[in-house]
Amino acid sequence: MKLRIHNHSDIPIYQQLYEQIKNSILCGDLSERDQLPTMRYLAKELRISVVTTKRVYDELEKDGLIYSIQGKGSFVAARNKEIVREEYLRKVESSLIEALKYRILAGLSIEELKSMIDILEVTDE
Amino acid sequence: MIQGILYKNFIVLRKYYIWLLVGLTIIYFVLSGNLVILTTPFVLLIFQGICMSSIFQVDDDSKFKELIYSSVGEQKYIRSLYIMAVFNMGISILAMLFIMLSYHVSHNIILLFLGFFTAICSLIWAFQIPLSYKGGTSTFRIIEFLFIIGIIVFLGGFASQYFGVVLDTIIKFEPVEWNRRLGINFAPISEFLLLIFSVFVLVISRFALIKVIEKGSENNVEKFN
Amino acid sequence: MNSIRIKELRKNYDKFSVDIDDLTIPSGCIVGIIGINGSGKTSLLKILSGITKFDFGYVELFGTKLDGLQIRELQKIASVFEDINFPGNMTIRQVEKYCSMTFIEWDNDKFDLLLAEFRIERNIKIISLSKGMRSKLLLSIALSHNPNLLLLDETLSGLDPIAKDVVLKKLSAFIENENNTVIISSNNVNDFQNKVDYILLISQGKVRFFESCERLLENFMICDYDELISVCGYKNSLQGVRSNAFSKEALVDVNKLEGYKNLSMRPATIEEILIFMEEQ
Repeated sequence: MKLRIHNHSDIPIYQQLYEQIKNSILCGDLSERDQLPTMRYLAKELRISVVTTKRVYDELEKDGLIYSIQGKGSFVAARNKEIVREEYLRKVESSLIEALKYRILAGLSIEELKSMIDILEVTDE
Repeated sequence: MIQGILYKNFIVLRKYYIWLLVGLTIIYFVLSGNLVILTTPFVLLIFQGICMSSIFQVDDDSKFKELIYSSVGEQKYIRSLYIMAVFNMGISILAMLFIMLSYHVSHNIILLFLGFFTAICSLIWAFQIPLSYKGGTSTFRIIEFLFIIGIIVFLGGFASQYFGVVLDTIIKFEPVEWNRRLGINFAPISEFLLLIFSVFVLVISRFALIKVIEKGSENNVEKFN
Repeated sequence: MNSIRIKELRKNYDKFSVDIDDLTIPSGCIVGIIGINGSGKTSLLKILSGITKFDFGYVELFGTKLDGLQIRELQKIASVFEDINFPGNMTIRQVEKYCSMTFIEWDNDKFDLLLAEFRIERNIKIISLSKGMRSKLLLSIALSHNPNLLLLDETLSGLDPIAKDVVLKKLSAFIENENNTVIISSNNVNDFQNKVDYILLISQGKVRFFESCERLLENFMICDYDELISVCGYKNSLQGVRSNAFSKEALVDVNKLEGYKNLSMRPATIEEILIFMEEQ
């Protein structure tokens, strides 16, 4: 699992970490039942506060992405297909909103936009 | 745990022990008998004073004693001061004994000297120190004063038998006769002087112990920082 | 588990008093103490390390009263102070020997490694050490007798940025064991940004706040003062004000502020928090 924290970003550190771990889980870098590093180890290596890493792990657990066993550590939860799909849907949606925003600036009609999608789909395969 | 503190003290005082050895050796071999007996107590006095004040100074300057407080506690520190004071006094007593035996000071005087020190030290350990921890420096000085009175009275009795000789030798005769008289009466005179100086060694070395008591019972007033 | 519990602590000095009503510090974290010079940072640390006896109150370390600590327990607390040192004439080798004779759980191998890492040679005398080397030496000693609590007073000052990084990394590694705690004071508040878990602000001997860095950075914001006072109920959230010839800014705790959505704010750095609060 690759994690990079930007200390001076506008995005709070806990959020950066949360998103990155979540992505790793959802896109399959981490498999079900994989053990996550301890929150203290994470804090030490990333040079951030244990309060932050604890918070991230608590949120991940609350969102059903990981689970913890007392005395053993934290593990990746079974990938809930719904969560994954939802995540990808959200990504599609935000990309489309972006595309819709720019199509107006580019002077593209909705029909032209739809054709573009078809063309790109063909090229991609 | 106190070994660490004693080790550090010996490192700080190492050079003084060496100087003492060198100094006493020079005195012993270079000077004549009379001068040896007269100068040795002074050298020992200076030695003891320097040792204790050196420890206090070093510990204050670098605040090393605070390091000790945080690792073994204040009690151990005070105990280490005692051990050093007693150890240095022990060295002084041994040196004095050696000198006295070398110059064949009469056994009576030697025994008197030893018995004297033992009695005083016992009184110090049994009464003066415990009482002074409760009562502080003032208690220490009161008991000290009583000791000195006692010493003077006690010794006064013994000294009186020498008075006659001293008077005979120094006061009554002319200076030109002193050398001859001194030669004849040297033994009792030197013994008398030795006794007086021993008292001084005892009394003045105690000031080191006063400092120890002061450190022990005063409530350290911390500088604001 | 709590490492430190303080209740109604009071120690009087000439010019001020350390006066702490109620403070509990959890274990397994790094606490950064900030405050202006003379605010009581060093005094508090000296009280916790057993060097200074306090006048009133109750201090508990790892569940045991501070007064009643045995030597073994006392040595579970390691401290490094700016003004405390070994006698100048001692060499590092002799200091090492002293330590092995004084500390019950002295780990000489660990000390060796730390000295090598900090590039401190054994034959030099204490008096010839630079300020930074001194800090590194004392820190090495502190880490080598297996303590549970590290009390560091201005240990980072005098270190170059790389050395600071190394030290902070060591402290992070130290608290990987959740039974260990570090309390470190610094005048250079920026050392702490993102590197410590909690911030304790001391002012004139009193604790102004004790918060996690997370909460501080999330909740303490800086905004325009005039804009702020137009929000009703702002008084509770106001933590400090700073003005110059051209503007007046306010430090707010947004947790205590309602209806601030329209206020333009930026997160405050820890240094700004300190400055704003001290200017009051």
